[in-house]
Amino acid sequence: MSCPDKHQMLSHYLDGELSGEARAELEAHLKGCEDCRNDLAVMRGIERRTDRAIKALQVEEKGFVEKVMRAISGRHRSIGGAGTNWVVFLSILAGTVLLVALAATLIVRAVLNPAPCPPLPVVAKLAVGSGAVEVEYPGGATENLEGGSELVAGCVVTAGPEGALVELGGAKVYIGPKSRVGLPVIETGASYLYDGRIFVRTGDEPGRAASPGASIELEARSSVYLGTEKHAIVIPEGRMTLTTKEGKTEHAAGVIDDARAFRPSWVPASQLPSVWPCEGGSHLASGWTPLEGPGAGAKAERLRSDMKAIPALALDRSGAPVVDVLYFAGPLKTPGLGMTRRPDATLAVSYAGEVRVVERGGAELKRLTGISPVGPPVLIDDDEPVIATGSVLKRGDKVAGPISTKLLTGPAADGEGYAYAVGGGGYLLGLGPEGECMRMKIDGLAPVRPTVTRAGDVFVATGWDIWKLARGAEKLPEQAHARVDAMPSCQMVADGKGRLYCVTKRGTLRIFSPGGAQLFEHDLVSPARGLAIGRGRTLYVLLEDGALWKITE
Amino acid sequence: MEKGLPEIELVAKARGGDSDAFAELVRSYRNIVVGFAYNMVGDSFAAEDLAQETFIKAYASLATLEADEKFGAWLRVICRHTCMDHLRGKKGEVSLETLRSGGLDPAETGVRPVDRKIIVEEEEGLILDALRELRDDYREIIILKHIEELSYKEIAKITGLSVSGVGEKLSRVRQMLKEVLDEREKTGTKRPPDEEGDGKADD
Repeated sequence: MSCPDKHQMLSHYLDGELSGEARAELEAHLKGCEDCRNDLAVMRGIERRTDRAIKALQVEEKGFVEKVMRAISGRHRSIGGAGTNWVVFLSILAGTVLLVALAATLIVRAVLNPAPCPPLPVVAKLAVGSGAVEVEYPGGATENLEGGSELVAGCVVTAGPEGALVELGGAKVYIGPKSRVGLPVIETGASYLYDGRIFVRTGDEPGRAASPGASIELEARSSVYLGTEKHAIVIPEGRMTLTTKEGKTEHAAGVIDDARAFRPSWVPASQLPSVWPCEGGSHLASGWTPLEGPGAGAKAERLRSDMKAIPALALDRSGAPVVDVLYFAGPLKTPGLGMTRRPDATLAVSYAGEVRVVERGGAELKRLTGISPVGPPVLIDDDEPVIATGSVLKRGDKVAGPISTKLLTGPAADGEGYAYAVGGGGYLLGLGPEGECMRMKIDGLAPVRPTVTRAGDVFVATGWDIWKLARGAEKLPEQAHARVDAMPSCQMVADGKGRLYCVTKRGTLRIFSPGGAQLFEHDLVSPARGLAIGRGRTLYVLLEDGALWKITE
Repeated sequence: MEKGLPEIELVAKARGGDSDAFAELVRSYRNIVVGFAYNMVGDSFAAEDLAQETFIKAYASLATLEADEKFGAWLRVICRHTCMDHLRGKKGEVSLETLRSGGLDPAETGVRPVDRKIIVEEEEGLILDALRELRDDYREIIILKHIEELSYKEIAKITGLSVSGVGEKLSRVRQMLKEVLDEREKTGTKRPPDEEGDGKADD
């Protein structure tokens, strides 16, 4: 028995829910296994303690039932005190009371079932629900709705244990488990009114709080992720304005072009009693299989949900994802910025202030200190990693740059020793094998690490376009290579056949042919932190929420 | 008397105005509904009041119950709304933190210390505290399991989960509970020695 199986078996055994055969098998196993016997004893102990504690909540039968029934009869019959001298009077009274009660019942029914009101406009659609999504209509009526239901203006959606996804105009709103969200009454645009406080951080600005009751306006192409663990709202793109209840604009953020630099978090108000941490938002996408269009029939499987601490995604020699950075790099004292890997399984791991080159197994080949890399370095050979630091790209004594702004990403390199990184203000900076410096200004360049193929093609993104640059190109080609629904959320990857893989900030995975035609799409809900292609064209995706997905076509 | 009748018949009779039948349903569901309410509000006194309110509302709206066999699940929904209304009404008084830690300390919850029916022992407090750290769908399952010793099938019927889902969740919740208890006991929340001897975990 493996450990998880064992635990579940013991738990079922304890509850008397094992079948005769399984029970006999387990009992035979228990006789010979001290570990399992100990585990069972521990479980029994906790069980006894839990039982005592929960049983203490039990209520005394007689008093409770009487109280309820008294209240019911009080509400429905208005019974007075009985006396022998009042028999006749009471008979008349009883008749009257009955009539009054009947009339009252009719009135109550009329109030409960009023004449139909003019229908409210449908503003949203419940895309996927767990089956336990509750919707409270304006006026207080409630209903449990399934995926596909239409939602009217002014209703409040309370997500079930798996959250809910609401499609609102062009925007998608993911509501984390046990969270509530009010749908806009205003039909124009998309605005949300939360009763919680909203904290906003943009760029280097310290966090600031918007007042309770502020609303958020989003453009049609924005996505909202109402998170779970920290109750965060992530707005990958678009313009966001916070407006107070009184209509005063409190904070206008301008165009948001970097989701990571713009992460407001929502602290739920006290009337949200049940916001508990969950395993990660993307589990909502579990089991989604596109029925038609690109990607139909692909299988997406969530392997893990606990990888928030893993800074980047890399594959080991066998093509499986590295899930434990400590195995490669030894104990980390400062947060890592990420790691890159070469085919011979050597890793370069960068930290604030230093870069380490670590061999598979943990042996340290090189350590560079006193530098501040902005992202994981890249290894061209085992001696000198290329590092993006400040406004320059460095490899040993060879330096490209500076540019007039800071670099925003770590470098990526091709098979011939050319490395590229993206800087602020739309700069693409390159360093050649002999120290050649390449600078290109590209308007709207996405601040994600460029994707470089071994053949020397460089892929970068601007807004909704992906561009392909040949090695040594001095300007963008006439036409974009492909078009996406939002900027890439992390470095795109290209496979050996020239196919390009991209997860956008709206959480959609898109795969393009070498010619730029879209071959596949799959909604992962959350933006990604890393992408890698394993054996047999298996794609691994590490999402912002810490989930690791395996996607096979 | 209505005792001994199958639940589905009791529900049908109650809907027809038979208050004895409804009283029987209250009798058999009282602890379960208190458990639901406790799960939501974390206060045993409020839970009892809210459970009573749930039954009163249920009686008033029995006509809206679509399937008699779903009475338990239907009560759960009414209880949930009742609790949410209660919590909304206490806006400004009950914070998330209070809810997480509250329910045991009279000073925090404002409950009547004198007529408390449940004297929460340190041991029980420790367990209830640990329960509070769980996600509420997990907590609900374990409360249902223990408060009325329901089978997986019965829990599944009320919660709408599959039977195997209930088994899986119970197994996970036990693991989580063990972790929380281990952590709490390590960080110094003492509990009296267990006279029954609980095995290694209690070392």
